[in-house]
Amino acid sequence: MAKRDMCEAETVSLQACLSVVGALECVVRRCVGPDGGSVLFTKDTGETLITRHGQRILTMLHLDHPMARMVLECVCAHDRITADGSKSFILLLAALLRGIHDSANRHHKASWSPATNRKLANQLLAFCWKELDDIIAHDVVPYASFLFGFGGYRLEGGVLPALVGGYVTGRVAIGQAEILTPLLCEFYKKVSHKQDSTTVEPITFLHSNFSLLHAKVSGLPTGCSQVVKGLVLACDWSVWREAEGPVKALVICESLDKSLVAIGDSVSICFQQDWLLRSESAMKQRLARLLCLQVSVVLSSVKQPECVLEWARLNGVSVLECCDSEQLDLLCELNAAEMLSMQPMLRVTTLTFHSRLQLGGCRYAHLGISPNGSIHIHTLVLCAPAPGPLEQSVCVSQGVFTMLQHLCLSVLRMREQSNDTVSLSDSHQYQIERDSDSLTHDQPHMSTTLPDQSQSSSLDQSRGSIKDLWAGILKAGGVLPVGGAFEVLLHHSLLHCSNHGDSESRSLLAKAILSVPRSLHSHRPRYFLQQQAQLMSKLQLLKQGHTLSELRLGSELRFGLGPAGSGSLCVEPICSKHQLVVSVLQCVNRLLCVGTILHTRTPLHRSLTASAEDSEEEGM
Amino acid sequence: MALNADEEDFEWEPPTEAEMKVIQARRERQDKISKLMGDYLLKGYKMLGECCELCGTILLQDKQKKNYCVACQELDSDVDKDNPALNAQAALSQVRERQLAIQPHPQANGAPPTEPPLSITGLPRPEHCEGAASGLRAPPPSQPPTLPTPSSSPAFLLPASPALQAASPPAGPPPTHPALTHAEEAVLHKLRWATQELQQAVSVETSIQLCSLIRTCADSLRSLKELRLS
Repeated sequence: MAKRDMCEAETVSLQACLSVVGALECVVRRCVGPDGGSVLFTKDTGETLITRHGQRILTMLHLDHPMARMVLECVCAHDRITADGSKSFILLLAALLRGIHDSANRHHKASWSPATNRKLANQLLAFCWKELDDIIAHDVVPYASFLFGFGGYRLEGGVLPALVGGYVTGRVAIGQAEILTPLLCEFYKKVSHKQDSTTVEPITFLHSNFSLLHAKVSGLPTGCSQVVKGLVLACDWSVWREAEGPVKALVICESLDKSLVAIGDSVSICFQQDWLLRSESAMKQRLARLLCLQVSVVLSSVKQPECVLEWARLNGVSVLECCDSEQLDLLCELNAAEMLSMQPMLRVTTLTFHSRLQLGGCRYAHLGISPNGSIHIHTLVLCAPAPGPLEQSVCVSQGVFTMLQHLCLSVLRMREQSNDTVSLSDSHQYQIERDSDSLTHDQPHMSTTLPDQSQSSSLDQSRGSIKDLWAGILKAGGVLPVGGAFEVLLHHSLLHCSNHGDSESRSLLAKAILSVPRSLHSHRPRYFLQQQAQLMSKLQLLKQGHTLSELRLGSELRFGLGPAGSGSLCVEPICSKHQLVVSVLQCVNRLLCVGTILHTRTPLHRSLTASAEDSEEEGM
Repeated sequence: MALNADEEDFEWEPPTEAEMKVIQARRERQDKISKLMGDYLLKGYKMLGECCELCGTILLQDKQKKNYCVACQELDSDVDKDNPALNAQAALSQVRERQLAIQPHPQANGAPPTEPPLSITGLPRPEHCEGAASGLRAPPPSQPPTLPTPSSSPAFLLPASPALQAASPPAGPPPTHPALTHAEEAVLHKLRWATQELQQAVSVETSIQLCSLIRTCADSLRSLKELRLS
């Protein structure tokens, strides 16, 4: 038994981590990138699911190994923040663990002990907290701002379509992507209502309320997707009367006859007949009061009794039953509905219009809501021929707004931090947005007057009202071309960094970081190497002081997109990639710090494994 | 820890070519195991929290609650391919080695110096590189009675192989009965002949018969080995 125990303690070695993460890597490796495949899951009940979303795939696997579940937890937590990079997470994690394993074999073979792993884990974590931010801020972000800043490359159509395109293209089929990208940009523009939005409020609003602001229609081609004004509720009018113009609406959350018996009232059975008469008259009074309020629409989150519907038909009131209560809450919040002081709690609000909408084979209710500040409510109607692609479209759309929100918040946070530390060292080529009239073309380098400008523009920015949110993000160096530019730049800066910090962690990370773009370009490795070499040579020239126009920017921006001209350039946010590296380093720390796994056999676990089907155990 | 690394670096030598081959083989085997495991996970197998007792790979469990070890059941064991009782090639190479050893051999060829049978990490040598490493050692000393020496190392690992029923590793090379040796030689000779015939065989029927002959020879060798060990 002692040998068995020793085996158990040894299984918590790096080898075990590697096997687990290696298996997960093989699962997701084939789904990476726009050319990757999808996984088809079938359940015993006959349901199928086609997906290439990393987190979805990993959640569907049956993983009982504690390390696998820990890795899955980390992936889910990362996905909640950025909605991006679940597969890259696993690839980077596997590469990093392999690097650590090789270096442990090489350097510490004579003196290996479990403490070695823990020390290395803590080293990596310390590197993550202390040095990584600086390296990215000093070496990667300035290149990005230089690339897209003044005098640099102009993104056709603006930065928002490029961002959305970069996100969507890798996640849905190319046909769907071509339709979804302009649709999502249109959705955002209509909700924010201005060409150049100035605040992050619309993005935050869309991110938190997306589940209430979209309608799913199955059975129509994807091209039928559209953006409609107002709110669309996934139920049909029970009583419908055509009416134009703004109307008063009553929002109710309980059945109208429910509150007739207030708490504490007692009903004695011998007076039943009388009670019925009394309840009917009470109901009539209530309905009469509603008519006095001049309410033309009743929105109810529950089913109303037949007498209410009858009354509505007689009095020309439209009734909508069984609505989503969260959508009703949103409606009331945006319209500042007033509450009436009578039972049941009713809220009265004004709608700009109400109508019936026919989408596919179903009818929906369509309500108009007046604009609230900078938010103009619109609904995204997503169509797809089958439930599978529909789910993918919804998932991707939700992910787009999560990603955009993460980007905006990071850039604002970065600005606040740079406001605090106004000192910018001269060796960095940092472009700050200025009025374009005063700049000349051959001045890409930082001039001596820059600190003053940075103060004045930073004061502006700290108020949160910048001239153009997206242009500001571009110039602050928030995005890079997709396909591996970030990884190549980070690799280069980690290897050639002149800091005295932790060189072992830096070399480990540098070697591992290239595994992600390598998998992305696994079908054409030579192309990737060429792109990498070109990017590096351009970087060298930039460091020596040439201007962008001299370098004739061209193909290195097409990283991963094939020859120039095959589609517009797509970009990805640097903050998502940064977050990915941080999350992976934290996960590595958690894995390496595991000393022993203690297997506990609780009765609950036993009964689950004994009786339930495997599919029901997926909930962790 | 960085300081310790500096001190150790002075003692560290780059791995020899042999060790590199071993590392490479190990890595490839690990990659194959990961790929197989990934495929099984996608097929609906469950990854358990336990490891296989024989090879240390993580166990999978199918829908019928049967445990499955990918390495033991699917990959050719690294040990078995060097075991002459199971593999014709290994048997032939062993015969050749013995013939070389019988001839007076002045010195070891330029093979790397014999190391104590410990692996690179200082732990007892893992099974899967024993076979490869044993091939890299200098040829065995020049007497037939010491023939069991090269085979004792794979024989030592016989308990690890699920195919064989050997109960305990032998304490040292057991004395060989001449009849058994002759029988082994005869069977090996027939095996070699069958292999040559198979290479030249044209018809399917002949090939099938030759293959079954080779299998029978291998079985016979295995029985002879068991007989010798018992």
